[in-house]
Amino acid sequence: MTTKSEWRQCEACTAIILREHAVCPNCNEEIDATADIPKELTGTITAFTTIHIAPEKYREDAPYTVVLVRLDNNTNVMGRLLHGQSPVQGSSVHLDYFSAENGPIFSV
Amino acid sequence: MKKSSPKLRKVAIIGVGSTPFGKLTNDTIVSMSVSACEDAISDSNLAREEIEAVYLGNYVGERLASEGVLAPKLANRLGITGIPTTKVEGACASGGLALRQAFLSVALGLHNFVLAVGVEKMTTSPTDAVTSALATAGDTTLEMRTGLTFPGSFAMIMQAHMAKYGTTREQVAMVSVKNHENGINNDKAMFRKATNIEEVITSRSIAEPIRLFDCPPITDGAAAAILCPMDIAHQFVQNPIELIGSGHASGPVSLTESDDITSFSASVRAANEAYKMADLTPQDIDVAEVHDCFTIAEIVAIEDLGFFPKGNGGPATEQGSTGLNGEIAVNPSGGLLAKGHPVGATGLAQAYEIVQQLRETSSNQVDGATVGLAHNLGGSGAVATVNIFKKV
Ligand SMILES: [Zn+2]
Repeated sequence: MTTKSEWRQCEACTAIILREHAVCPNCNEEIDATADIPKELTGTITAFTTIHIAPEKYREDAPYTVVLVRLDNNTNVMGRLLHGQSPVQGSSVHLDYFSAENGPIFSV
Repeated sequence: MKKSSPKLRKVAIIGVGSTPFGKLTNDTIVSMSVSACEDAISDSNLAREEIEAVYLGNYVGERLASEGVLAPKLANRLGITGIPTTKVEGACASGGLALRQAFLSVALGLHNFVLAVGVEKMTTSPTDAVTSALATAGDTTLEMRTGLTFPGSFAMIMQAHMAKYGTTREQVAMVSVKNHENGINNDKAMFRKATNIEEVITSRSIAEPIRLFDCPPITDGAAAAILCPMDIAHQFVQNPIELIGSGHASGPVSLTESDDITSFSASVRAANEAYKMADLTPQDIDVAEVHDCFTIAEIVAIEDLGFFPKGNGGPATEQGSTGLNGEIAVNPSGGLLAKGHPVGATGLAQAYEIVQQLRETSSNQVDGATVGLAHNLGGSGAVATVNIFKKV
């Protein structure tokens, strides 16, 4: 099971990246020192989709909305939108919580 | 140190073969490969023992057909055991990769006669098994764990393309309408039935805004090609087709690593390499088979390949510019949407159609076609190959 501990923050550019990234995909700096990701993240929705036909593992969640978010530090992260909320292109979102199962969950 | 370019020999395709695409109940992954290769060998007039190497493109054969070491297995069934055989994998671009590797081995002078083949057996597996196998091309940690699906990735691309360029739902649906129309005449195609915009946009919702008719079917099939140096090609056939440019690139695995998801950097890079090698521009291409794994993917492809300016793919499709009699005919075979998408076979099936076009033997013949292009994409942009073909 993937957990929050797989994620970290590039100290050079503050992008949210993975522990397995040897080089930051955003700023191309080699990673030596990193910080845990901050609890507060805000950004805007740049793309979204509502999944109707879900993978077996997530079938009971469907329909659910996945959003591509441009964080305020100009990096991207993919997450779900809090159940019941409607996505709008360009609308502001913030991290609601970090789910070990689904990754970041955003809220408008 | 500045890298010097190796001297490349001119490369010809002297034979192509393909199974029908569809639900091939009586065929296995191995028997389909054999059948496409036998077709290509007989088309080339080459004695099979002359074949010096095999490159086989396959993506999910281990998971869905429970067959490993497919390339030596194929060589065994063809009676050419002993030669080097290699399976290559680049998700849905595996076939394009096999062709590219075969091209390189002939161009670089390693071999004279090389067999490239692509295959996939998908219809015997339950849909869940197929979609989870295909989903392995996504970035598990960065995006797939959110519950994103493969259609979901392209739905985001479609939504972003519509928001950025004003591309309309109807324009995107037109890709499906056009390709289904083209599929009617192609006796290798899985779907040979017309559709219309209304039917596409009201079909079952998969991942909004993508509907069922924006997606390709689950398909079985195999396709193959025989390559040799151009200077000896006429000893075998009267109408060899030259492979004049080949490009291959990798791109981001996750949409999060791209600042503009309405374009695939791997497609742009592979196309630039191929155009440069061929010394041609996008405007020189008469006919193209592009990777329409979803309707929106064709619109992105015709922009990335330089056929139309960024953002004009939708209007160009609506105006018929990509039709058989348009500015550039795109997916005359019916594309992945109508012909079917046996993922590992697709890249070679595209080459099969382009070769028919340049021989003037296609069931949807484009008048006066002399230069053709095949564009194969893997994942949501992780791999791309572009190959350019010319009538000699
Ligand atoms: Zn960084």
